[in-house]
Amino acid sequence: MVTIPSLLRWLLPALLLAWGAHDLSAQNGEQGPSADQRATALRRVAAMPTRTFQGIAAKLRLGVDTALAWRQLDTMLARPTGDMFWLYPAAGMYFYCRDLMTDAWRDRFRQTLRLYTPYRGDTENHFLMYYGSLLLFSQEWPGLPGEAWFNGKSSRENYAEAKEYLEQWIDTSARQGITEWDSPRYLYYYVTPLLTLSDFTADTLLRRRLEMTLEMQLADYAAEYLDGSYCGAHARDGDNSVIDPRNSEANSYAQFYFEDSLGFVLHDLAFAAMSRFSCPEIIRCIAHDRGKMFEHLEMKRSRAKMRYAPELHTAVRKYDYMTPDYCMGSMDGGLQQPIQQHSWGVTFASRRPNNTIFGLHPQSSAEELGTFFPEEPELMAATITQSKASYASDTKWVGGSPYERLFQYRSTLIAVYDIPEKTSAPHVDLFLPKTLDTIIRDAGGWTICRMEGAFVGIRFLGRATPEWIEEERNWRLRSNDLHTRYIVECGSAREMTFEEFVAALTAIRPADHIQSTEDEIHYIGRNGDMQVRLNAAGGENAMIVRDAPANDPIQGSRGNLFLGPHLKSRIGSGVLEMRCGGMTRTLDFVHGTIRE
Amino acid sequence: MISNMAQRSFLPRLVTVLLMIAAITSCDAGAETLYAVVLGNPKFVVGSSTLHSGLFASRDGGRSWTHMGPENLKAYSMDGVDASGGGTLYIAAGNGVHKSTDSGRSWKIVTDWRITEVLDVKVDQRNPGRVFAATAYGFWVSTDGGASWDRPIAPPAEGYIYRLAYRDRQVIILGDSGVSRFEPEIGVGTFSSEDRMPAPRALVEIPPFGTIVSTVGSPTLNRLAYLRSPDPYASGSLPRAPGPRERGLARALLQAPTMNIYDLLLSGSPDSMLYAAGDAGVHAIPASFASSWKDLTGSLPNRMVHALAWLPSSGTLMAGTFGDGVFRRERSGWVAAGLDGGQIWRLVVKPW
Repeated sequence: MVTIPSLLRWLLPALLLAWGAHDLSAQNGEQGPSADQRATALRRVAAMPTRTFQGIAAKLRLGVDTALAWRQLDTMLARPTGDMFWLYPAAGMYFYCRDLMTDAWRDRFRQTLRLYTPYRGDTENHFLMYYGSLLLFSQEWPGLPGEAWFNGKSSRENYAEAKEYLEQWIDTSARQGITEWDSPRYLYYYVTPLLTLSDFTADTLLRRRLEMTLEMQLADYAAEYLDGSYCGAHARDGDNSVIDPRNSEANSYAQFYFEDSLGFVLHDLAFAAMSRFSCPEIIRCIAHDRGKMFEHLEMKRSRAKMRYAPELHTAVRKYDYMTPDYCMGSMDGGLQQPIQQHSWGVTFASRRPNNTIFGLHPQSSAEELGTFFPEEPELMAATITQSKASYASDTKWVGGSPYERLFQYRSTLIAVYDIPEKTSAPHVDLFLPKTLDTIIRDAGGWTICRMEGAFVGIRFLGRATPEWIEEERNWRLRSNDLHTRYIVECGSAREMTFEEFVAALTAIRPADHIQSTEDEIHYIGRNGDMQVRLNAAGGENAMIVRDAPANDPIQGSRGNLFLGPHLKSRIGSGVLEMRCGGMTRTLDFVHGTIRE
Repeated sequence: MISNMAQRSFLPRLVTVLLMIAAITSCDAGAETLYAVVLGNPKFVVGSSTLHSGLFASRDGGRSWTHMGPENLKAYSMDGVDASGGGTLYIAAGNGVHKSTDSGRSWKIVTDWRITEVLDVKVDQRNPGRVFAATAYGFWVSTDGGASWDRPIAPPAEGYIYRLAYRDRQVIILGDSGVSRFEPEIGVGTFSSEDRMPAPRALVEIPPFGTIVSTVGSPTLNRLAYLRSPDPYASGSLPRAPGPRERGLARALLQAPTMNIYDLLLSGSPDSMLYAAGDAGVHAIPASFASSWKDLTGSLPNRMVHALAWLPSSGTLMAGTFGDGVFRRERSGWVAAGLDGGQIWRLVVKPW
């Protein structure tokens, strides 16, 4: 039976949320999830069975199952576990539901933060979660002495340290690029803390810069977004999302902000639903502006290399060729992130599962772990499977390799592997999903595939003759040649038919169009004459594209943080220009301003 | 009035006397505290619980342990101010350097966001305000008991620094590329070619031979380097590794067990032994080098041993395993000494 009080119980929060969202839309001319969608997101999170701060917040805000929510909160505060992954949703729940809590509950948070020492972590997302939460809590309780905090620092000390960290992180990210770039998994852990900080940071300038950082993260995502998939190379991917790109944590926010959809609701959407933040229309435009094919370049930084490297951070050049039907994206190769790097991939604009083709050298080593983590390399290698079960497997689908070099121009990619004999994986694997419409094996040396309107051809060079291994969801194309080289070509139904694509590739004859030696590959393919020169001594490799337009700004560019039709930023400038659909928006991190 | 004054003067005196008694009993002959620094447990995952890690102390040779400081600490090392009798303690941890000035009852992280993954901390016992920190990203110095930290302008300032030792008014820095020395009085570091070696892990002085340094890396590098001796080839008893003599260098490579050696320990005289712990257990050789290495691993259930300690009061060898806690060597063999499941990173014995 529907009673007036029960109706009010559901309607009132929706009306309040509608008021909040409308208020911001009126201010900024921004669109985004409607108040109804926000309320629905809250209801979906509230109904999730797991005990989380996000679920508790959703229940309390909606006024449903509140007795259960308070009991759950009691448990969460009595038995904190999870370090900074506990801390950031605790902060979110506290601040988004502050008005619903009694002084006694607020004091429980304070007492918990006196007793529980969360590990600060060792990555950018960890530090953001840790210092973002500390900033807000120390701002909330400004006068507390050191003994009131788990780390022995006073509120004033905690606030100053957190602010200093966040300020320099914003500057470094905007000027030099982040180190945990384009992660389908961990973007989620940037967006949520930044939402909370954007809503509750008291310092006006810092709050604006944090909100601009949130916009930059979403714009960075939007530029490589294709219908639910995060395209191109990723610093950190997941075992599932790497083979099924739409099944990534980041897609939860893409659905919410880019698609106005609740097609993939994860816990943190509870905070997004309560946040005042609306995604600027121009970022939503960038996520969908796929009418024309375009090149997109990004410069990022490696994760900090504490050992075995001459520099703490090495430069990472990313390149994407985006089309309405697919995106081919890559980075230079090499090892820039431990364990979870995804170096290249073709992502199809398809809603089928496993809408991707990619390759890797599935190696693992104590040296890789020692490069990025402080403990004994050999001990880490011996115990890593306790925390990252797939890492040591030579059939894994995620991970970078120091023996991989990648060269891409538009829809052509050349991959080069020179693998020493004594490695954990003496082979190179390619992932071909079973959801492809067509696979033509060995068409004049090519393997040619189609998924909807996108075509992919793969050709191994030299002695490499791949074996086909059938697995549950895919074919594994394995080359056991330690010096594997292969070429990947992509095409679109907007350019030609599939039959024409097959004919074009089979017309590429090794004698006339492909020359491969130990230190050079010369290939004349669909995108013209490409020459790759390999520097065995460890210096710069070179790719010469003879047919590239003379004024092509992207080829060879290393001075831009972003360069493409939608995003532009010079390294070091701290200024990001967005363009889409006749709109412009400039984030000036130096002055903390937004210009439109 | 007189009575009140007497009371006021009596109470502080009583407290002082009690504190003195406490100090005397805690520093009596043979008294010692064994500290175990626990990195985590086998189920450790970044982002999940890291309970039961951090600093533990035992005053009975590992028969019982007391946890000190935050329970949830990715801890690597510890030190304390000897003159304070354990009153001032430091922990090197992932979150930074933690300091206690009340014998471990309360703690403060005395470093900030710039300093992370602190692998070792060392107090200058001659000048306890001077504290040194080794981190995965460089070497830091504090001259005010940790209140502020700076990087010296010296060779060891950057890069992976694993461990510190204090000898002859110098900080010996075991870094990724070798052993360097820092002179805190003048704030200058030195790094010579004799000290260049891959991944040193532990260092002991064995008079009259010189300084022994262990390294980790590939099997071909699993050996000890004999450093800073005027002529390392002079002594015929040293078990040198086969290979060409490194002419012009004041060091020789010594034979050692085939393993990554994480810790070295020199037991007390008169029958001093040199112990080596690594990923193939515990091995020992007389410090006179009169006989060859002997494998002591025996019944130890975990061959990955990361830390060693010697309890002078009982002449007992302690071993910290990576994942199975602490073990004590008795006549019958190895006996479990608590902290089961712990990844023991360092064992430290203090005279209080």
